[in-house]
Amino acid sequence: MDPDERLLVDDARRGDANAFRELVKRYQRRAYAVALGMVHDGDDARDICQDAFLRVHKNLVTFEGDSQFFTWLYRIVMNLCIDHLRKKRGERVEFDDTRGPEDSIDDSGIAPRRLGFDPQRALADKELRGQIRGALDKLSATHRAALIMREIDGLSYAEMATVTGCSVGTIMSRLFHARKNMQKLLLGYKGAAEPAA
Amino acid sequence: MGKAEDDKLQRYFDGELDAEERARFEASMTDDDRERLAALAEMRVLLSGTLEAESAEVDIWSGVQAQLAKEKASAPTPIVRTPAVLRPLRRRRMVAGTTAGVMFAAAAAFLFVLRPWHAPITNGCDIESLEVEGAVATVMTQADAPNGGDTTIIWTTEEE
Repeated sequence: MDPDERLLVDDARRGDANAFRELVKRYQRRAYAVALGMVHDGDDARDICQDAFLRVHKNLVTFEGDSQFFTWLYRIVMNLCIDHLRKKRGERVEFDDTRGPEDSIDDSGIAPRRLGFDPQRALADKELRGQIRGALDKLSATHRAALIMREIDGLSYAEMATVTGCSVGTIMSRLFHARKNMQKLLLGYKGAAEPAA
Repeated sequence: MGKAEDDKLQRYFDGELDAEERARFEASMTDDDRERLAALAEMRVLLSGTLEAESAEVDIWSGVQAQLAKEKASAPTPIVRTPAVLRPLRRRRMVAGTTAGVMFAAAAAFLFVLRPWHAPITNGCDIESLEVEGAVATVMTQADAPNGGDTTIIWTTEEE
C-alpha cells in the first residue's frame, strides 16, 4: 500500500470523515467500472458501489492493512456483484469454479486478427459501447470478472487470485478463455473488420 | 499454437514474465505472435475505454454520505456503562441513599401521624423514674410552650 493511501486508511479508521471521503472519491470510478462491467446496469452498479463503500466504512476497523485497500474493496464489490447476479438471474456464480461453461467449446487460442474498431470512435460511439457491453454480458460471470479485473483495473494474476480465492493457474485459464470468447463475440458484430481473403 | 505458447503469450502481454523470460520470448517472437498481441491490445483499449467512459461522471460519494448521515441520525443514544471497577462503590452509594430515604420517610410519617406539636402529652401523672428490665429508663419533662403544658419523654437505653 502506498504511504499516502495507508495514511488515508489509518485516518479513516480513526473516524476521520474527510479521509474516508477521499478514499471513496479516489476509488469510486474504478469500483463503478468494475460493477458496471459485471452487472451491466448503471443503477444496479451504483447501488452495489454505494453498498460496498458503506461496508468498507463499517468494517474499516477490521481491515488489517497488510493488503492493498483497493484489493479489499474490489473483493467486496465483486462479491456484491455476484450476489446480485445470483438473485437477479439465478445465475450460478462461484469464484471457485475452475472452468466456465464456454471453456469446452474449442481449444483454439486468440485469433491473430484485430477487430478493426477505431478506439477513438469506440469511446464516442454509444452504439458500439453498447455492443461491447453486450458482448461482455454474454460471458460467464467468472470470465467477465477475470477480464474486468485485468483489463480495466490492471490487477496482477496474484492479486486476482487473492480477490477470487482461486489459484493463479485458474486465473490464467479464465482470462485466456474470456479473451478468446470476447474476441469471437466482437468479431461477429457489425463494424468489425472483415477478415482478409 | 499449443497451450504452453498461449500461456506464454498471455503472460508476456500481461507483464507477468520475468526479465529473462521476457527477453527470450521477444527474441523468438513470430509475426503471428505480434498479430495476437495487437488483437489483445485492441480489445483492452475497447473494453477499458468503454467502461471508463461510462464511469467518468459517476458520483458514489453523495449517496454514501447521505446514507451515513441517515444511519447516524437513527442511531440510538449511546449507553454509558460504568466501568466494572466503580460498580461496587456505586452500589454501596445506592444502598446508603435508599436507606437514608426510607428513614427520612418513616420519620416524616411518624411526625405526620402523631403530630406532637398539636397533641400535648397529658399523662395525668407525674413519673419521676421508671425501671425497665434490661434497660435504663430516663424520664424527661419538657415545657410545651404553644400548648401551655409539659411533655414527658421516656427514653430507654438497652443495658450492655
